[in-house]
Amino acid sequence: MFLQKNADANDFTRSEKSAKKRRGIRFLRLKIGIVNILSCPAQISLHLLFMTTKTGSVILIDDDVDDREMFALVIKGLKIQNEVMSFAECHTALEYLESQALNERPFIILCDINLPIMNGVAFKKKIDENEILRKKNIPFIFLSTAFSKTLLEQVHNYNVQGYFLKGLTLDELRKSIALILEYWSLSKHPDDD
Amino acid sequence: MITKNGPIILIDDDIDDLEITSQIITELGVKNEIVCFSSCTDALEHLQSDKRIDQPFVILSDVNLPKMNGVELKKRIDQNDALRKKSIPFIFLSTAYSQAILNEVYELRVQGYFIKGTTINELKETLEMIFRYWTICKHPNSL
Repeated sequence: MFLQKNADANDFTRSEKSAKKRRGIRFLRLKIGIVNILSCPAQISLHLLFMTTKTGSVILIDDDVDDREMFALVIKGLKIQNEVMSFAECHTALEYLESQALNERPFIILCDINLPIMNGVAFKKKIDENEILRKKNIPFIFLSTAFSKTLLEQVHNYNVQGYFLKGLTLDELRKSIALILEYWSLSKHPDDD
Repeated sequence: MITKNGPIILIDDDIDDLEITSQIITELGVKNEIVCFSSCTDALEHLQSDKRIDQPFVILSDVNLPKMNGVELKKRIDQNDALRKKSIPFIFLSTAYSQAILNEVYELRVQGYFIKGTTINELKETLEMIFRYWTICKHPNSL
């Protein structure tokens, strides 16, 4: 009898936990929905005034589908004029960049670091090895969920233009992306004139 | 505001500009030490002789300077193994730009090239954004 009771109690906590989990997921969805509608406060839209001065596309590489969707949401909310090209793998992104080598320069590359087959660091190396791509001097920024000292040392040795965390919430990601785009919009580039 | 403690290295041959810039940085509430140089030679000497472990937070340098210009300074830093490994964000802050100089600068993989702007407010906004960017940016020396 006692055992039975105990098992019931366990069942209860388990089901309560999963209910909480479900609520959490629903809450997250709701939050994404709200952000989607209201994601353009006055301060952000001001930044967009000069956003249009850089015309190239934003290249995004991330193997996580959910993360790519989050980026799309955030970037849509920022109302950027630039085209956004998303890739799940670095080698397809590299193929695209190479095929577009003689066309306009992408505005910026935002790349995840841990990716299967070719990771972000190897991708950056490949770009630097390609004379035409290297000379385009596209700001290369890592966006990752984690970091370690060894990894950061390795990454910064390539003279990249930044390493940012995606953050835990959509709002954190939005702030980081807005800041990155603002910074590189304002920074002068040889192709500006 | 700034969580990274290293000093900010400012290089400009215009003493007025140096004063204005460091005053603005102080006004922004930035607690980092500000170390000013009016020549790249002095700045390089300081960076090379600095045996302390401390890591400069950023280098903000003018481009057009007599004797050694900003581009040459960045090259010298990259040639020095110990300095290069510090990966100090190197940002140009200038009054002017041309395509030729920008080509030269970007070849060095710098971390930005900004125009000082015509008003103090413009400079203030630019500096505020630069510090915000490098404060949020993850760096091996900020761990």
